[in-house]
Amino acid sequence: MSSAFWIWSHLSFVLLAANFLLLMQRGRRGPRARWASLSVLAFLGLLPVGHTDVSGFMLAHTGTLCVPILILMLRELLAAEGLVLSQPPQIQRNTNLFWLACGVLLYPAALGFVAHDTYYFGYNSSMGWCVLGLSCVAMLCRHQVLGICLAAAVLAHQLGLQESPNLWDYLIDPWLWIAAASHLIWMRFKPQPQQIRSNSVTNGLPAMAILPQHR
Amino acid sequence: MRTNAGVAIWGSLFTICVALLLIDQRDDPEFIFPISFAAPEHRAPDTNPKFEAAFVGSHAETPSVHAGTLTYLKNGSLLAAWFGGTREGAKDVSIYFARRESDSQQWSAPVVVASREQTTQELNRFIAKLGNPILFADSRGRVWLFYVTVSFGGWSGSSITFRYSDDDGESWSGAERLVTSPFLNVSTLVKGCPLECKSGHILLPVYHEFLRKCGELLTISPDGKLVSKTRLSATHRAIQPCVVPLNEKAVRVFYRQNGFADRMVLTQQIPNVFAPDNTALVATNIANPDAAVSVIRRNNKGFLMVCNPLDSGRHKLSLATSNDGLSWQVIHEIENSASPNEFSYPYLIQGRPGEYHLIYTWNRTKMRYAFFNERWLENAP
Repeated sequence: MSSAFWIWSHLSFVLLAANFLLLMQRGRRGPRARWASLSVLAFLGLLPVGHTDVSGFMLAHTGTLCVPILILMLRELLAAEGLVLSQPPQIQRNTNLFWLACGVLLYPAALGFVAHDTYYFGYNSSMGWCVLGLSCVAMLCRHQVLGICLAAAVLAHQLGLQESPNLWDYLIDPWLWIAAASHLIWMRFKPQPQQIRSNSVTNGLPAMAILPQHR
Repeated sequence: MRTNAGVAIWGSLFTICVALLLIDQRDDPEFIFPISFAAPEHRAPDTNPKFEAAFVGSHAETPSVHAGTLTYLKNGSLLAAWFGGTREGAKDVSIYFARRESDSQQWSAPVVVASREQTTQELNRFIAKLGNPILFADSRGRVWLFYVTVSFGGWSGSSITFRYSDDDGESWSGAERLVTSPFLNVSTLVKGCPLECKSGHILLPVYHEFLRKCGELLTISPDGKLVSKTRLSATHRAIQPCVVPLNEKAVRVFYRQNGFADRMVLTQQIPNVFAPDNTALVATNIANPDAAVSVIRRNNKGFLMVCNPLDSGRHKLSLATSNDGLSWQVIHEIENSASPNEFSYPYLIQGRPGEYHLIYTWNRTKMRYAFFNERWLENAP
């Protein structure tokens, strides 16, 4: 296992656990407590479990997380610190629809429900150009986070940072798809704006829509 | 995110991506094919009919063994591997390995070549159990061991791990994982014998078992990178593809039929394996009790299959031949006993022209090896 995969698994564990803690705390802790939690999580991920460590154990059950979900989780941590601004709801919805469409295009075919496997295209370098083109379109349409996610996925794929040689695995995973679908549903049926404390720091993950603003 | 910072980040990522894509040197399918196909020797060696069978090693420490695989080395030696433990799917199951030297003609004592603990450590990923192995010696002399690993759930949660040896199995590389599915990389298993392309790429037949069952073909570069994956069949009850080359592009694929009704060995002919078009599967005239089959090219006349030609049970293991792959005739019975005996999971390869090597599970307690030659086949009753 290369060091890149090892870093990827630990980064995934820390970001996932940190976002979970952020959601649980809901702003009850200050920045110092949050950074302390992050340090503890980074240490916890290295603790041995069987013949691997905690992050390797988690990764065996979640699969390798894709680039956009890592970026979105990192962005959420930064948003909690007030370092980045939130996206307008319209852009969040479009972004979630994009991930939803990607999943609908990929998963039924890859699981054998459709004769032609769309996962096959991820091995072809021309898909990298297509995704970069989509990234340009996203930027032109002021969907900056989506544009960055797409470009970062292509870059990580070109650098071979994951075990998979398939661009689809860098672009989307089932958790991102579930998160996007859940967030769309939540946005559709969410309470009136005055009934929630704030949703201005959200950027695409369902849990993040109910997080308070920390600025 | 502040607009200028966002645009700057994106601009940097975009520029680097364009540069990397422009210098991308990954494998082009045009370069990979054709299959390294050589028509098997038509004439049988001028020898007497010969059939020998023996158990492979001792299985005192492993009450349950299954899924044997063989590969033939250039020096005439044979390597075998299988999984063994207290029972199929148990945590103590490991991949065992034995060697049969060409001069001594004796199988060595089995040794563990991959264990669950070792694989977990090398992949830095929890592994719950191990399954089917496949051995393959490529034309450069590298021996590959592909085997099934499961992190959670049953066999539907499988993925494929491999390691290789450049000294005929004396020492092995660390484990590496093949990512073959976007859905948590679950449900890809191996059973069939790989093929090799003239470029050195390996074509590994695999099958998908989660929700829908279908055959697939992985293209693996000479340095172990997965280059492509193509779906062989859209039918959802055909598993364990056995791919037999007909020429440098065309193949005939045989499948175990997974299901409850009309159980027959299934087959399809694919004119260009590098651009499969979901050719329809047809049933052969050989019954298949939802059990693995192994098929190779016999000679220019047709195919040779080892199978359990029964409606149910696996107590009979037979050799069958066919000229077209559709109509088969059983010519020998290798094992024939009463149920619930089990002789299953055959793995058949050709060594020297006209010489065949077979390994199969013997009552789930031992691995049995059989050797026979073309003259013995020709003398079929």
